[in-house]
Amino acid sequence: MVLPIAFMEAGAAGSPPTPRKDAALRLPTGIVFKKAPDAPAPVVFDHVSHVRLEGNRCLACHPQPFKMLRPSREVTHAAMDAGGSCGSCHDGKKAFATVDTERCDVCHRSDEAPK
Amino acid sequence: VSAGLLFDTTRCIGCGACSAACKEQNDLPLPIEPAITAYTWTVVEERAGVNVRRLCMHCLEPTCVSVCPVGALTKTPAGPVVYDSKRCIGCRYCIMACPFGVPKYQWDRAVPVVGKCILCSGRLAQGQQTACATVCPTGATMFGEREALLREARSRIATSGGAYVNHVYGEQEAGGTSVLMLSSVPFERLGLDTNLPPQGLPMLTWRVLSKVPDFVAVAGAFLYGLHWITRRRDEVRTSLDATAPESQTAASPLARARSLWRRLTGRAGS
Repeated sequence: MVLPIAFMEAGAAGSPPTPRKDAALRLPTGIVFKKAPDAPAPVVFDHVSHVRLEGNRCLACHPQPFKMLRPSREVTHAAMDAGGSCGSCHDGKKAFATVDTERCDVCHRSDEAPK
Repeated sequence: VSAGLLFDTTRCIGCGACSAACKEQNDLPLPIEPAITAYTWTVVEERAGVNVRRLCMHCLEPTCVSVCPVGALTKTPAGPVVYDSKRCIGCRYCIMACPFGVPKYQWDRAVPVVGKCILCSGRLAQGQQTACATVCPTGATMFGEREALLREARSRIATSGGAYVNHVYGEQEAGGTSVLMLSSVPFERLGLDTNLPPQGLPMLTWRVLSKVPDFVAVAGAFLYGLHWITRRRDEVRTSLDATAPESQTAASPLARARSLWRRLTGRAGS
């Protein structure tokens, strides 16, 4: 479903308060975007490699350009290359560019796509 | 069985996902403002070294509901205090009445309404949790039945070895709230009012308002009595005037008019 983290209560009665820096984040994993017909493989997004615990980084991507509750899984390269969705950071300055043809496999990862 | 939230300052990392999800769920305009407004229904504030959420506490006996003259605010059996902008006349009494300072007004609009957290009552009706609890990556905001959340909160305090302040904010405050909070620092340092009475605040006005019918009856009887006495004195005086010598009745035009009126209506007095 759209909400892989739905609800997981880690606070089983008795667990001590978790220190802030050690908080294990429960974030959706293995988010797979819709594969375009000409794409080498579907894009798999990984929260772990994007989230910086220090600095409240959720708001860098939520709720714009990425919605949390009703996320879109369809993104075109043209839109990203113009600075939309992933392209708002992956512009060649903040992070490697979406137009970087040397690094297609960083995002298009067939190995992690679900069967 | 009513729903609520348990917020735990020791688990909140201040990421703001709750604010983002709230914006999305309720179609509120960006940006996420630093404090709650009519367009930002929840924020995370850093106070006394911990992160604390600001949102409607969803009182069990809401003052905003009791003061609203048109019934635009309602406490639903499911838990949320909901707001109907179509009924609202914009009097902003709720804003003045709320002990937590939650309802905010759209001061920038020509036809403004009030904005506040409605505990995702639409999602609750569909069997879902609130948006903020759904996206919270640390479980700092936990959704559940209020009674179950209270038990959870007490057990966290009991087993934490003193890491928490020994108090569940919202268990008693203002008669109890559907949103409960746990903290590792005293609640007053989080900007929360710790001097709220344990009874619902509407009781304070009810104590006065419940006496209104009695007051109306007693005051009505008293005023009628005054009226009767005044009229009777008037009657006695005018009848004395009528029997007095002519030289004295010529005194004032008012007395002559009265005398004429008496003769026309045939009310001679005694």
